[in-house]
Amino acid sequence: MKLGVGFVLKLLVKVVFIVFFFGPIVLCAINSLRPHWAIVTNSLNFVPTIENYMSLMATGLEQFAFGRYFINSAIIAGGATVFGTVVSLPAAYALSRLKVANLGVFFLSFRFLPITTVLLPIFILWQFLGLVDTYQGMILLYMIIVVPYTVWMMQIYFNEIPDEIFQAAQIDGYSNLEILFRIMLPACLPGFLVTVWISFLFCWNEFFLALVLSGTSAETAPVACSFFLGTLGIGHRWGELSAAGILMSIPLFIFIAFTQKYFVKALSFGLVK
Amino acid sequence: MRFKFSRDYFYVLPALVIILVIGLFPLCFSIYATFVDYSLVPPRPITFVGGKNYVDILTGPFLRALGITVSMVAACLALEIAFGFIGALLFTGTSKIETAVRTLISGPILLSSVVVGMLWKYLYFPVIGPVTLFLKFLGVPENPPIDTARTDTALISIIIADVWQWTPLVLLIFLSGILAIPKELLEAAEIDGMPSLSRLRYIIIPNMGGVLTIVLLLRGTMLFTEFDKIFILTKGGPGVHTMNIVYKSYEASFGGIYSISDAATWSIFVLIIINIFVLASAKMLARGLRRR
Repeated sequence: MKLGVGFVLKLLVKVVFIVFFFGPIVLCAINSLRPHWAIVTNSLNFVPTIENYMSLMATGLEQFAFGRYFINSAIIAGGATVFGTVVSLPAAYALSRLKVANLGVFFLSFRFLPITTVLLPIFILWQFLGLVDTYQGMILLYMIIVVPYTVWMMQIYFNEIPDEIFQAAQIDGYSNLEILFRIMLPACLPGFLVTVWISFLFCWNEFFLALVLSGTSAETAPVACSFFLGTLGIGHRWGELSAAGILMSIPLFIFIAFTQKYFVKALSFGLVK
Repeated sequence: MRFKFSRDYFYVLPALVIILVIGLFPLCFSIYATFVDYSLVPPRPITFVGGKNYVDILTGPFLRALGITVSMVAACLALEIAFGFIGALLFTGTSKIETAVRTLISGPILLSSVVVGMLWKYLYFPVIGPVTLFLKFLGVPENPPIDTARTDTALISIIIADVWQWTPLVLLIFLSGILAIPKELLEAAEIDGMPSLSRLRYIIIPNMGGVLTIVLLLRGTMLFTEFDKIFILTKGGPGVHTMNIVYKSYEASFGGIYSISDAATWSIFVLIIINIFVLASAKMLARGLRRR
């Protein structure tokens, strides 16, 4: 009987955990399909519609016109991830296999640098260079998120590859770039893809830098969402806002569905195996 | 270590240049700005003032902001570690269903903080918010019981949202710590008839040192720089009740005053606090790893 009570208690706590952590996301998904009147009157007696998504994307005066912000976010986060990764891979390779000073922790420390400390100087510099509120400016800026993370993580993944493979390739006369792209990278492909996707998510979700430096023409989806939240009237259009939330989370949901195994390692900077 | 230049440095150079231009240079500029009087509105010539900015903040609003920062960090860390550890003990199964359940509850981890803020703003909303409805069902009379605009609940509202988002990551990290304990050890203890509470006390908890430090390191650095959720949920208000040090730095510059030196000085305080915290945690981490 004692076992029975313990079992029921455990099950109960488990259910509480699932409801608390997953419930709000389910609710967000439901609300995105729920007509405005049903949310305001708290009625569950409704027919699911996609009208929230339609009105979120609708363009015109006093409309959300959210599509534009998604495109901005995709260009900026995508650009920063691509350029950041291209720059980081040779650096990670050099730190792992070539004769350079051990700069790994130096790179990583910039991932932990508080955004506030670099925000103002970058704002002044960007104004001087005319980069405020431009795609180029935002992409360049977000490389401060991508590069430290990618250099550090890829160095860890490269270090896990047995040295014999590297030496064999050297003896076979491969150049360093050939070793990097034809041997090292394929050998740790899953880790590499996870690193790229996480870098993209970091940029896609980033809010503080974008709030100050993205203005109007390069405004990203999180910034737009926060402005709508603060605007009287549409700030309480929970249907459309939930739809925006769901759309903004799609890159994350794709990631979780495929790569739970790598999740902890990727998010703990390789500290947890 | 003697520096020896080799051609291999060309591989590191592009990444290094990026870091120097958008990381190290701004950092140095921030440090410089703390020692001068530098304001955009009204525009004044830049003059050297020595330590005046530091003294002004330390003798003025510093303690209040530090108190808010530390209480938020402490509350979040305590709750996330407690719930994360309990959750890790519960969700240790490796069956397909249990893995799927873990995937579900890890949903909040990498959500955009704006989405998290939006979600909780709705959950706390008067009359129709689910949290409001639930607490009303439990008999809590005030409406809304948790209000982002009331002095006594504003900070709590941020803490709950943060605990919701990050407890799953803490759970997963603790879980990997528990799974790293040799199976034979736990099985032997069970066969010997060791009660499960003693197993927890004498086998599992002593083995959590390493992962606990990792949790402190990861979550601590993020919590000390928390800005997004505060901006979405309370805008630092009501008054200055939820203005942590990072928010003060934002407030001093883009929040309307445009004093570069004030903002820089606040941000350097953030940097100092983070460094103290990281060094302390790293020391603990080194000790924990050595014991393992």
